[in-house]
Amino acid sequence: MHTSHAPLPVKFRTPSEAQAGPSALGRYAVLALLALGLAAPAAAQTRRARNQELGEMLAQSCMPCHGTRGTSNQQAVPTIGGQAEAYLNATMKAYRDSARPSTIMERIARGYSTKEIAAISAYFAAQPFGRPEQATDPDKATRGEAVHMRKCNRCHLHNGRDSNEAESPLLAGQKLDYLRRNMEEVLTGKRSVEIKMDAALRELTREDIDATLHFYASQHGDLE
Amino acid sequence: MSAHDRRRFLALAGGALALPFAARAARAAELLPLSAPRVVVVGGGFAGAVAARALRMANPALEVVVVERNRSYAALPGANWVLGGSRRSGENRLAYDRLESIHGVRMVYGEAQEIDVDARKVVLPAGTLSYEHLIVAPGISLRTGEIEGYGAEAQEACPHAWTSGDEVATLKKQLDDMKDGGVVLLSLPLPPFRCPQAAYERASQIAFYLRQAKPRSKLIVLDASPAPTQMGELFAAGWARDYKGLIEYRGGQKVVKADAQRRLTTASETLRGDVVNLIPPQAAGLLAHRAGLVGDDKRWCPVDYMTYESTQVSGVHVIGDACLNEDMQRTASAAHAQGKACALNLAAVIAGRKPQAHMFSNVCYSLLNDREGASAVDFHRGDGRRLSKLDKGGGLSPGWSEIEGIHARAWVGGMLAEMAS
Repeated sequence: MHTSHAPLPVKFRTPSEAQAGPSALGRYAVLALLALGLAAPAAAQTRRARNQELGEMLAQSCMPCHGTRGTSNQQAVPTIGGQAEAYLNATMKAYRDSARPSTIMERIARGYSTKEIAAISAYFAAQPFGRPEQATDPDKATRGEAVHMRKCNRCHLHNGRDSNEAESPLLAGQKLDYLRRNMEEVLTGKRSVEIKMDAALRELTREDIDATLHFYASQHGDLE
Repeated sequence: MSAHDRRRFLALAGGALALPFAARAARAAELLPLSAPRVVVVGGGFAGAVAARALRMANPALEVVVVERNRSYAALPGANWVLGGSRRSGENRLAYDRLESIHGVRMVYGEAQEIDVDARKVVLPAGTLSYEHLIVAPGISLRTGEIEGYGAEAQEACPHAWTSGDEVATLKKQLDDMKDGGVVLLSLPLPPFRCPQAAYERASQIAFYLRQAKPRSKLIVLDASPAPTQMGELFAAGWARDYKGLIEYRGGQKVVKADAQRRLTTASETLRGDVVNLIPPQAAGLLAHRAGLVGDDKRWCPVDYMTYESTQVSGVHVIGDACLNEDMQRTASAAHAQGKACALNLAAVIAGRKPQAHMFSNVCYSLLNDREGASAVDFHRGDGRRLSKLDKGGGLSPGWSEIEGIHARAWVGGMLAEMAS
């Protein structure tokens, strides 16, 4: 019998990547351990609970723009609820250090300490990534899926629903206008990206890139 | 409330509220008999609606009842853009049905007239509402009595349009009806008042409209402050670029007298306008005065800046513009932050945990025209006795930009969603 080798959204995970631990699976494991009370001694648990409360309180200020619990209802603003924790942490620090261009985020990120950024990142990473349906072009989304399989799926895992390192955000269900504006910053050299991303982009046409954004934005509803 | 306070309050309220409250409270029927731990929130503006929604999200076992006099809400953020023509007035309106259907908040429509703290009841015309915990978000009242002649007729002739988006639509109609070559007067009081930055945005939006539709007209801004107090350099630069010869800004011009012929008088001059927008000095909403929640200044409500419990009347929480905030603007953003902090800390206390300090960013966007926006950010920390402006982060946009114009619209959309989506 002939076996097809069509590309599937398989999760590749090396031990070091697993340690970075931003995946849903990793989070569930930690939550399960916490629930069993086996993860840490009492003092550490109290500290963690306090950090959770701190994160929840600080995160409220983000919601007028980024949406309740971080699911954006505005095309110009990204969803940050359910985003990878390491990516959120790295992004806030990049804004704070002016390593990523922004309008207001630089002024906001500078208001927080490293510990507060960590608490906010942990809070949003623990929320669901809401994916309300967006207007996208189905032809572009189909083309974009093929491009994704060819060029993007090693880092933006599982159709962009997961990621394997701090530099790779979850993309599935992200707001299309936000994705486009950011990609424009990358393509015009305003925002630097890591070398793998740069190499992948160099091999793609503008049409290919736009199509992948439609593919990511077209994913909606409960995807798990 | 002392006899003196009561007289002052009654003068403020125009005498219409001189009803025998206590006697009524004793007789009135309970509107919703208590069946679960209940928080009553009086006032469904930004602070109140956000708090109610956050309480239900934090603890679905709580019964949360919102008392609100209007069936729908015409928000002020974004309402200035209706004057400029880049937003329809209906876009600023939201109903409370999602608070009920999605979040299980119970809405009671009516005017809260008094709070019976001893009996833990809110008194409405239709009956009383018992509570275990009470949050009051009474907004602002207008100190119209401090402007000579600013009675009912003058208020109709010179609207303030500062308490609801509907009033902004009325002001818009007056601008539409004005002839080209007319004079518009905009008067601003001394801070503190509700969102000064929005007043300078209003000047920008009126000027944007005039430039399009009535270019021979003029806008004279009479500011009681000597210079714009919020984003001053940005507004000055934007006005010089877009509205040169159209906006005439006069600082240090406090209006002390107004009349139905649309004349405004300051210490040095009397001007007549074809359209007059007179924003009077302000104080906490009337319910705050009635319930004895205002402090020594007789205007604003001192609170514990962690739980937002009143320091005047224990067991009553006060949030939003009515709070005494020495160095913080009274913005929708701050009202949102206070609503969230009050709700999360109240939910924590009900669950037997300790309340925590809250740090938040106060974000205020403005549009200069129909495209370009700018923002101001500052950080505050509320930790009990003090609400302090923090000396880190924040700041102003470097200039007006289209991308911040897009963000300004997103901010208003997101803010309305945080209230009632």
